[in-house]
Amino acid sequence: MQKFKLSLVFYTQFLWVSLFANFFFYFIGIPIIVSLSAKIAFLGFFIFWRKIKDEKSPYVFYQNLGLSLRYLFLSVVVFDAVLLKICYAVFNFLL
Amino acid sequence: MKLELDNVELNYGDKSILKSVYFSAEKNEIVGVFGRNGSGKTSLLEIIFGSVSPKYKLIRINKKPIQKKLYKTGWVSYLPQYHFIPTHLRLKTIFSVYHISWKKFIQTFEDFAIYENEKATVLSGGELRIVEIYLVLFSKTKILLLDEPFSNIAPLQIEKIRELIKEQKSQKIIVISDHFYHDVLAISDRLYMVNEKRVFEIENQKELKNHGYLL
Repeated sequence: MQKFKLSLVFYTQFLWVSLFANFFFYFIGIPIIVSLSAKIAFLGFFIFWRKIKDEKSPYVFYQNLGLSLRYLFLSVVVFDAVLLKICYAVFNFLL
Repeated sequence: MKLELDNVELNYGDKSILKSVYFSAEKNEIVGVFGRNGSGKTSLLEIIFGSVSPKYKLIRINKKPIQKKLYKTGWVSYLPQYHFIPTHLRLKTIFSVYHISWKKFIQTFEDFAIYENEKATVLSGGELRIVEIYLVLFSKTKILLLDEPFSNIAPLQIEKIRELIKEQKSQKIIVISDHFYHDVLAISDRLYMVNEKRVFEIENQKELKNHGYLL
């Protein structure tokens, strides 16, 4: 439960950008599976880039609580896939 | 509980940073680590924590080798030299995920009471450092690695932090590295000096001079 809560806390930093991306992908007609693949690739790149760009690791806060970088990445992918699915379902229903 | 780090060899490219290092620390003691800038003190702490992977290393807890990165065991907390709190989080969220009482924190640091619902960005560098030190000191882990905890902190607050560190000593292994050597000497039970890629156990301030750390 603690790990889940922490993952969610980590994911909040991506939430608004992700929502906007979902909205954008939907309106330019990109299929959900392509949207998900693009977002996973971007997230992987972003997390890796933040890790290597300087000596200050942005993940110590989470590592102090026992979470690895791999765990954080996978949890973001799961949360983002769920959010994407919900967004596409809501857009289909409303529009 | 005893932590041992043995047979460490760390290179950055062709440059050798640490070689044939042995280091140990036990529960109920504060271990001070000194060394000139660039000597490898931070690397030593990061190797223990698991965020730096050297060519060779052996970590033992109570004589039992630990294969995985130590932070993955949930036994260790690390205070890096830089700010590590995510700026998008509110202080009450930060204390909540670390399972640390905000009320107890503001009993010690009364001036912070106004910040409970604020994001970490509103704090000054020194205030943020105090929050970070408190989080690491009172986290549920058994091993604390403190890299420059006294930097950017006012003298009065350093006194408070020294007392908090000593308070936690009975339950934890504490390793502390800082150039505020008077403060480190005052609270440490054992001392190490990182010099010329090696780690030496030293006895007193005089040996800091012998190793060229002080004049």
